[in-house]
Amino acid sequence: MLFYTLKRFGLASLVALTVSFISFGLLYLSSDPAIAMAGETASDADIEAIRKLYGFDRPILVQYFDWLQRAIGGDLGKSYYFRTNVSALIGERLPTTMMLGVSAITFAILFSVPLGVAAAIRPNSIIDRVALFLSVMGQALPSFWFALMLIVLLSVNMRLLPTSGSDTWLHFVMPTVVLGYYAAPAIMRLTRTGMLEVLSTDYIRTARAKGLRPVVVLFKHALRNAIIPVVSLAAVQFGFMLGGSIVVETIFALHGAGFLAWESITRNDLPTVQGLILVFSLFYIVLTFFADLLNAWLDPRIRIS
Amino acid sequence: MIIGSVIVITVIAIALLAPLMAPHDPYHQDLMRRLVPPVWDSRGSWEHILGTDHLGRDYLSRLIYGARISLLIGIGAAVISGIIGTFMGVMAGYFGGRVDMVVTFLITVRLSMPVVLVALAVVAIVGGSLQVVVTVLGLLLWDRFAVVMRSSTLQIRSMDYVAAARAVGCSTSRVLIAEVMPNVVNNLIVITTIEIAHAIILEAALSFLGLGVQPPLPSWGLMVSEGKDMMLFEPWLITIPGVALFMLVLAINLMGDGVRDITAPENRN
Repeated sequence: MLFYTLKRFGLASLVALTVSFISFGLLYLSSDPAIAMAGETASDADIEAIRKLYGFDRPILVQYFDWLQRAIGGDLGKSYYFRTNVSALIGERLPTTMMLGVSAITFAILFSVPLGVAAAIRPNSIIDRVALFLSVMGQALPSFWFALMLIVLLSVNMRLLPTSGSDTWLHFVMPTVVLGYYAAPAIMRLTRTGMLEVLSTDYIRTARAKGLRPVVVLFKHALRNAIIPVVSLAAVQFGFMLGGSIVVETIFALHGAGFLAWESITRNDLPTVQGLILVFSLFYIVLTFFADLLNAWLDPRIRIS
Repeated sequence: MIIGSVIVITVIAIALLAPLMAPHDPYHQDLMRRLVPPVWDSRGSWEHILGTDHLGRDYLSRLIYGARISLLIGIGAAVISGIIGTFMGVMAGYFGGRVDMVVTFLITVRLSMPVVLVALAVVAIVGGSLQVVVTVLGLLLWDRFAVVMRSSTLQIRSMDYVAAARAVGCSTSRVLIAEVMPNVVNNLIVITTIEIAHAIILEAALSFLGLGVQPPLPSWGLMVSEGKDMMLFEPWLITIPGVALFMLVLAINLMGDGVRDITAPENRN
């Protein structure tokens, strides 16, 4: 287990390093940041001054290692627009996004795991068909449009929920649904196939044969085994959700990291965009790292191969 | 699957025949006739069946021309990412070893980067246009192709007919093209439909946020975005392009599911 952990950790670090290089290079190679900062009408002398001031005149690799060194120390540079430290800025906005992400993945799991189990108990029953129908519909629904329709329906027509802001828990209801529904179909399908597979195994037949109550067989014997792959899928989906929060937070004006991403992208605020790409990627890498470890711990076959 | 195919073929036909189908010029502004509601509204008229937008442009014509953009971006991005992902996946699955390690690593790197954020950032820097959106999405969406092609090739590689082809002295490229590719093409079709749908949704989201296809092009995502400010009074402005988007993506997904059920019935669950 220790060897496996070390191996996974080394791989995760290497991925993180590559991602940091891409997120740095991506934004630098495609344009001249000095011109972007100075504006289209600036004189050549002004652009040159900015280039010197921010160190854009140095070779790109030197700039990268300089940035990386500081990023490891937690310093992601200074925002061009907000004029504050990027790390502090992201740190301030991240809790809102985390809260949204956690409630969205909880919503997705609470909705899709029971549905997946119910569908697997009776394949091709009405419940199974409804579950399939919902998952096909859910995958085709564009989230930004779904969000707007919910606003029109729930906030404007029925006056049930507030449209924008992040003051009370009511403000999080619609964003949670919009962010969560997209992950639900995948989790539901995986729960269903997992349960179908486990329910046809010999040990379930044995458990039934020795007269255990159906509820015990279903939850203690079957679900516990079927849920293992669902855990890592949920971790992956949670990582994707943080990236997807940009659309949802922009529409509902939730002042989280996703909204910050939109603000800084539209304002050409390169250090903040770089910082956010790095933080979101790192979060995903850490999540999948722990999901891998959890899987290896639950299923010894994984760590041997 | 039949419903899905019918819808997809209809949308393709509409997109191809847009100049013949559209009742008006999708770019022609008529500021005297702004925000005319659709025909089912009591204020609507048959002249503009789906009404007009905030600049007095015919909504039905814009919707019809918008189908071109969605399909162009969906298919274009899927072709680019399909070529990249298939090449990487087949190489990794067939050669294994170091090649496989590198490809798997690249897939992990790609998966850890948030697609929407990276796409938005690149479009913001390079400037939004149809070509940029197609290229950016194409360069970002190859991961699923690579994953599926890798595992399919891994299965095919150990088949007797591959060993036989090698034994009679076929070159590696011949084995790959004549033996491996025909047997992974079914999976390739299924993934392609998924990614076309994925790219269409992403384009709409990017355009909705103002960092995708630029006005005055009639992208469906852009139409939702332009109608957003008036959605409380004229909800049809966002309902119509949204429903079109939903139907097209749903139809493509249904078609993909259908192809999978026919070619690999064992994966139905």
